[in-house]
Amino acid sequence: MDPLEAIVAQIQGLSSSSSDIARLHTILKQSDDSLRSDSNRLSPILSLIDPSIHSLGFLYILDAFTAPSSSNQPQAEEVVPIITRFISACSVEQIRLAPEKFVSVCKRLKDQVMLLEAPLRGVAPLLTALRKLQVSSEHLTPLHAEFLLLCLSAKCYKTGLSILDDDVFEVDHPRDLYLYCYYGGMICIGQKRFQKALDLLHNVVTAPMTMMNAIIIEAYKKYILVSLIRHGQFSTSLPKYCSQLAQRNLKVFCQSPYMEIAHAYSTGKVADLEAFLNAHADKFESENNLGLAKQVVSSMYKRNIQRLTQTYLTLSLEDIANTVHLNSAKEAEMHVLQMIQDGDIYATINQKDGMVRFLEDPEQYKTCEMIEHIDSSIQRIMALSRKLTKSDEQIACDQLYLSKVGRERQRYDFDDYDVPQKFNI
Amino acid sequence: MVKGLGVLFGMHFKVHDINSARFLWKTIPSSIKESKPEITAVWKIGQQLWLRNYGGVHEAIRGYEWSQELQGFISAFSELYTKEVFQLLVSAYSTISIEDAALFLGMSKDDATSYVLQQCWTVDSSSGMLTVQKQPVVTEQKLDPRKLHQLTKFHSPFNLSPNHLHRTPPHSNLLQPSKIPT
Repeated sequence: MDPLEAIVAQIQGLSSSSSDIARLHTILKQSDDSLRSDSNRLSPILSLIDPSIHSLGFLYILDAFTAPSSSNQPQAEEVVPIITRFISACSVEQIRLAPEKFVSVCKRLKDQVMLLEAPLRGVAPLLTALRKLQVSSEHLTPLHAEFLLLCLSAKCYKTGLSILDDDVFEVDHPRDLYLYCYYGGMICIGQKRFQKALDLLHNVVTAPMTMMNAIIIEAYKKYILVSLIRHGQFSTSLPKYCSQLAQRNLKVFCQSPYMEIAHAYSTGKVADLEAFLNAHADKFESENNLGLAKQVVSSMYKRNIQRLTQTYLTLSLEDIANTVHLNSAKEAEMHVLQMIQDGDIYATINQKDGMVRFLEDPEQYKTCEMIEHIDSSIQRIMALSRKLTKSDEQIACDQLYLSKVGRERQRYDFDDYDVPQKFNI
Repeated sequence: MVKGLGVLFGMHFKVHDINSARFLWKTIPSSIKESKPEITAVWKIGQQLWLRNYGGVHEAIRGYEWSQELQGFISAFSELYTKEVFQLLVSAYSTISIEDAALFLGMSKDDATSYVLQQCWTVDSSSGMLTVQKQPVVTEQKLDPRKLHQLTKFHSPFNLSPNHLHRTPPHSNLLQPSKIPT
């Protein structure tokens, strides 16, 4: 019997119970090479099996069919609908038996839609795919970063945001985390959620790493700019838990013009900052950071007006314009109005006298809404603390950790590092 | 298709998500932008919203003869926007010139004056100034006894022993272990 026909028969016959599927999986693993060598005959096979019932079999055949090594490379237009239909129809239990294959197939979908210059076609399928692959909402799969990349290319920022709200506790590969946080940071920047962008980029910069990579450098550049926009300041010292490599090398790579623009910002002079931006516009543009750099400049007006509220109770629009280097009192009025609208400032404008009165934050923290907010924050922190304790206990029992501590024991305080005898040198 | 796109833009405007409207505009192919001028006109409203050119929004709304498909939707949005701008004026201004109020609300000076008078503002015709009537904000403040009860349940979730997580050995990013029972 033709080996291909035999495989199809096995797939159709062995897809009902979990023990059957386990047997099928072994058979498929053994047949993987022969499937790939026979890839030009696979297209009609795919119509013989049902992606929802025979998901595992379909996955193996699809993987062999679309593999870059196959002799007969299928056209993008042919492949994209097949993979899309498979993703929506496939059974979750079956595809979780072969996660690497599933990830490869999905990555190929992403490559094909990018080739077709239609990233939007991949957004919904990849979202479905990652949700099916995830063991829980805290699990970061390799597909998360691919999905975010498609969202960025297709400019579907809001769709990308939906997965960024999930907390991540389990990661398959460190590289997934770097890219997830970096792309996630870019999506948040696009949606002007600067605090969240800062948190995500911070994760990239402080992640453990064994060698420098481009992702962390680009992330640090954006981190500097977003920090200026969000907080009006940037601290050059990296946190202690940052890797040694990052501590030594990051600043060197990001000196010009990023560290320099941070320095120019700290002088508080808009004209100087604008001049600096214009001088280095090309550099920013080539690194796709020009838009962000411009936002840094416009944030300085806001920062300077906010600083005035700390000194004055009332101030004339004319004085605001002069202090903040705006062209006219009317311009100052528009800036103040927009800041009031955005909740960046509490003030009332008195056009009759041409004055602005700065007010206190009216929040009294007495409302039911505020109590709900505090309540849910406490719950979240308690859950986080429990997770942290559990994680700590797990690491404490980890062989690798104990042997390292055992080796280094003599350097440290005896009591804290008391480990079982077998771990001492 | 025009109605679909128009409504989609409108929905973005309504929830103040001008970001998404911008991205939507960027992804529409230029062939459609050229052949359907009404979509360009809808986007013009978005542009003015993005630039926060309050008067410009009204101009963009009025400056186009909308098709029957979109007319109803645009009028509804216009009404909503006027109300929102009015709320902004109430919160941001103590006094404002009739001229500016008219610009913000997209009305003639007389219409604007009667609109705000209905909301209990006062007008000083000699100076051309309007005095804003602030509306007291009512928020739910009654403390639910159940919430208090829940707060009493929060006890020592932060009871990590002092050894935990404090000192880390130099040159490593590892957590310190708790004592291992021997």
